[in-house]
Amino acid sequence: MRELSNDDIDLTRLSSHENINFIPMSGKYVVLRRVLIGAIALFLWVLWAFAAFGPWPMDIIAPSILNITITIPCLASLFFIYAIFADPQKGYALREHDLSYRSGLFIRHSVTQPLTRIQHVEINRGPLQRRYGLAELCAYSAGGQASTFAIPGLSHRDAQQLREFIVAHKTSH
Amino acid sequence: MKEQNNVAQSANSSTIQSGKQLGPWLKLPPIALAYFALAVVKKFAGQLEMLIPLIFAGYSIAKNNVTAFFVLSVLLICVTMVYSVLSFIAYRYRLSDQNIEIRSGVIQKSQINLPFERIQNIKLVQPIYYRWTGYCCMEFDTAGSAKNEASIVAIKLTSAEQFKQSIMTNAPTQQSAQADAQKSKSADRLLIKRNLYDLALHGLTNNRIWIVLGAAAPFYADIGAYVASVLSRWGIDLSQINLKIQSDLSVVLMVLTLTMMILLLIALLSIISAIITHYDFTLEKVSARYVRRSGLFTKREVSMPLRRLQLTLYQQDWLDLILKRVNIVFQQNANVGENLSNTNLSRKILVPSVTYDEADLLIDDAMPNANLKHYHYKHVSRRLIVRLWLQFWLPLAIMVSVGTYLIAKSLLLSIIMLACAGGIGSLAAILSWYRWGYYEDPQYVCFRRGFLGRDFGCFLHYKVQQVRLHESWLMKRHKLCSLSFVLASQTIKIPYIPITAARKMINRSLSQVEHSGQSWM
Repeated sequence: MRELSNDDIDLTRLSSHENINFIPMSGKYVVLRRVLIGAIALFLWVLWAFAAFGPWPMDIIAPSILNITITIPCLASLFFIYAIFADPQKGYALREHDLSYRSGLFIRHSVTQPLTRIQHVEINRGPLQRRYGLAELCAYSAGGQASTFAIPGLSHRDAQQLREFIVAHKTSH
Repeated sequence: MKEQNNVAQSANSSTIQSGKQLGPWLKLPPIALAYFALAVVKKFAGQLEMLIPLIFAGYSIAKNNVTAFFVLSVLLICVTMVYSVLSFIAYRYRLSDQNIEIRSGVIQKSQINLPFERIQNIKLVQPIYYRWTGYCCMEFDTAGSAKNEASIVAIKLTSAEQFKQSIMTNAPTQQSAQADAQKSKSADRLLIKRNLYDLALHGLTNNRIWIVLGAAAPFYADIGAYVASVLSRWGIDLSQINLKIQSDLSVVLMVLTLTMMILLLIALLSIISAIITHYDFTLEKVSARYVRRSGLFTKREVSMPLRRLQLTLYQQDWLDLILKRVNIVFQQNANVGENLSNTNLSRKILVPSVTYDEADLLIDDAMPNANLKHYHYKHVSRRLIVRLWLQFWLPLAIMVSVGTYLIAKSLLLSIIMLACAGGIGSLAAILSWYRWGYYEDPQYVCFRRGFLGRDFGCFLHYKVQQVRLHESWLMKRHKLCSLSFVLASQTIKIPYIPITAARKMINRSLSQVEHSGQSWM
């Protein structure tokens, strides 16, 4: 099984952190998130508009409450715009001995997890992820819950291959 | 019963020696009843936040209706006693040559089967009520979660020691450590001892009084009333003060005296608590592990194999800087259990208030050649000052000035406050920038941080679990980044360093983690 995923590693650029080639997330993941967050934002707008202009007397809901609550759909819309630009920036990379994940638009985070320090691996799939063949890979190290290494938006096949590679690496080293 | 138990225990030690067979189920000596009773009380105390309304209720009942309170407390004591007797009866343990089985629980029965090779650590704890009986409590530390930690509630100290020895030799994972032990048998030595003077200094510099103050919070009003009544007995009437004292000077004097008295009391309580926890502190190096013993009422022993040491900290508060003392902290993996408040204590070793020379010796023993106090630390970028100022001190200054305006209704005063708070904030930001420093060599990563005080920290490259790099858009323009090293005991974040330096450190750590093959524990 290890031979299968071996060609994913670029051996020529092994030891330097700046030369990691990140692979973008699955296209389905990006689209799914846009649709989902967009739908939530839209729903919040509709809800707010219904409260504001619904068929009831004007003074049942105080105007100040409406003014404050409009921030909720606004924030959701901002998040939607952020996701449109930020999601394509997400990427992961597998090298021979470690796994990296990069994310963030304004603040770029990149995490590198050495494979020898992984305690166990998990693949998580919610109902929507199952429907569209996606999966999230979680690798736990001794760093604790807060530093769980997670790659969302992998295709299920990729996630499984990654897991097998990690497990094989653990048993061979 | 006691005799029976002694017979059983001698039987069990012989089983250990001969091995190959299951021992009989053993009962506990009657002294264990005290342990169970206290465990119930502790369990209640552990859920203090939830019990606060109950305490309030009880307190008001006590004020209004003494008999009801009496009946209630008798009932509570009865329940505690019955429950502890039941748990005492339900508790059984037995030993074989490979594992230990413990059956316990009254309502929820549990049976633990613990193979010797999974035991990482054995702690012998002797609470004060065991002190004169020769019994102790034996706690087994496993690599698993802290929730199902196993312990033999009461066992003769001598058989416990014997048993500990036999487990340590039996366990296969301990074999390498045992080999080390054989080699370094001559190296068993006392590293450091603390006397009462040191502990008093420790209590002074590490104020833990806030915990006590927090716990007393529900009774503040009554304490205040009590203080007032005592004062009035001495002829001081608080409500009359405004009329009686004519000059402002005497008011100031009185406030000052009161503050001083309160501070003195706080310091005293803090010293007492330091003495209670660290009394008779010894740190020994026994066959490649550190063993720490201390405690006035309950003697606690924490042992930590040196190979499991993750991070060494050299901590100095501002008072420590004046008194020239240092707290040394050795951290091992902390993230195993969820019950952090409980595990934190046993997962790290704190050596209280050592002198500079002693600190150097301790560091040199734990981290050879790490000269962490004398390295030439590189400063982080000055942009950190701006960031700290904007992120923390400016909002604080604005809040202070707005608050002043709302209270005093004076624009001038609020502007003065803004200037003052902003100025103090800038000084503070400059000071914390000045403290931040990092240093790296082929073996260690070291850092310095702090504000009024200072901390040095040091860890081996190969102990790193994960590295994280953060760069904001602005930082990227100036070729800066923040670098986090995730260790098994805590995450170390070094802010605002040049990206080239960060990459160099990351590459070194990763290559050592991935190619040295050395384990982090």
